[in-house]
Amino acid sequence: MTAQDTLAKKEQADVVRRQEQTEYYQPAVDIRETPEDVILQFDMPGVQKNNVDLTVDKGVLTVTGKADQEDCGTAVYRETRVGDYRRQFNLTDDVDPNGISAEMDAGVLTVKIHKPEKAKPKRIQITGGK
Amino acid sequence: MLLNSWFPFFDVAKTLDEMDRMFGTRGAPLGLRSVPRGTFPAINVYDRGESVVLTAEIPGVKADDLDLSVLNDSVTLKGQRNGSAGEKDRYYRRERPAGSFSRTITLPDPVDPDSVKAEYNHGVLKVTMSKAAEAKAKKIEIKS
Repeated sequence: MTAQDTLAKKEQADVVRRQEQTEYYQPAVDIRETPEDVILQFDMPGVQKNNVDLTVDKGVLTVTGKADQEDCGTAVYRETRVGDYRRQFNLTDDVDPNGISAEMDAGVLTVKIHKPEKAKPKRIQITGGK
Repeated sequence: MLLNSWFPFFDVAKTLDEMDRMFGTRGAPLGLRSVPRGTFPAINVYDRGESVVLTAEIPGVKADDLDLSVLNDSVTLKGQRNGSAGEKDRYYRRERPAGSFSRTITLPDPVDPDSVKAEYNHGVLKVTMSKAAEAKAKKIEIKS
C-alpha cells in the first residue's frame, strides 16, 4: 500500500467518525499530565454512573454518556442541548488499556491513563571518574 | 506540543477544530434562548402552571459551595468551581470553566421565597419554586 492510499484511507475513516459524532454533543474536557498519569476530566451533568460507557477499541478511546431527561413542564428558557454526550480520542500505540481507570462524581467523569514505564523520566547513574 | 513529554493522543488540532464547530452552534438551533459561548452554568427554566422549575448544569461542585438567593422574580446563583490539579501537573487542554461564577435569571412570574426547594444531583441543580399568590390570580379592573 502506498503512502497516498494510507492517507486516503485515514481521511475516509475520519469522515465517518465525524458523521457519527454529529448526533452527539461533545462534553468539555480538561486534559492534564501528572507525574504518574494523564488525566482527562469530562463535564457530563445529568449523567449517572451507570449511564457512562468508556471503551478502548483499536486504539480509539470513546466516552459516551446518557443524560437523564428533564421532565419539568413547559420550557421558558432552554440553554442546554438535547442529546447524549460522546467524545473520542485516538490513543497512541504505547497506551495499555489495562492501565486506564475511571470514576464518575457529581456529573464529572475522571479518566486516568497510566503512563507506561518507558515514558517516565529515568534517573541514570553516572559512573566512572574520580 | 512540548518535547520530552508523553502524550497519548493523536490529531489534537483536528479534535479542537471539531470542537469549535460544535460549540459554535451551541444554543442556536437547539435552544429557545441563545447565550454567549462560555456562559456558565447553563440554565433552563420551566413553567409548571402553579410553580416554576429552574435547572442549572454545574458539574463537579459540592452542594455547600453553591449560593442561591431568590427575590420576587429573580434568582441569583453563585458558586465556585475549582480544579483538582496538583502543582506539578501540566495542562494540555482546559475547556471546562473554572473559578467563581454568578448568574441572575429573571423568572416568568414572581415566586414565594419560602417555597423554594433545591436539590443537587449528578451535577445538576434543580430548584422548585411556587408562584407567588399575586402571580396566580391577577384581576385588573377596567375603569370606564
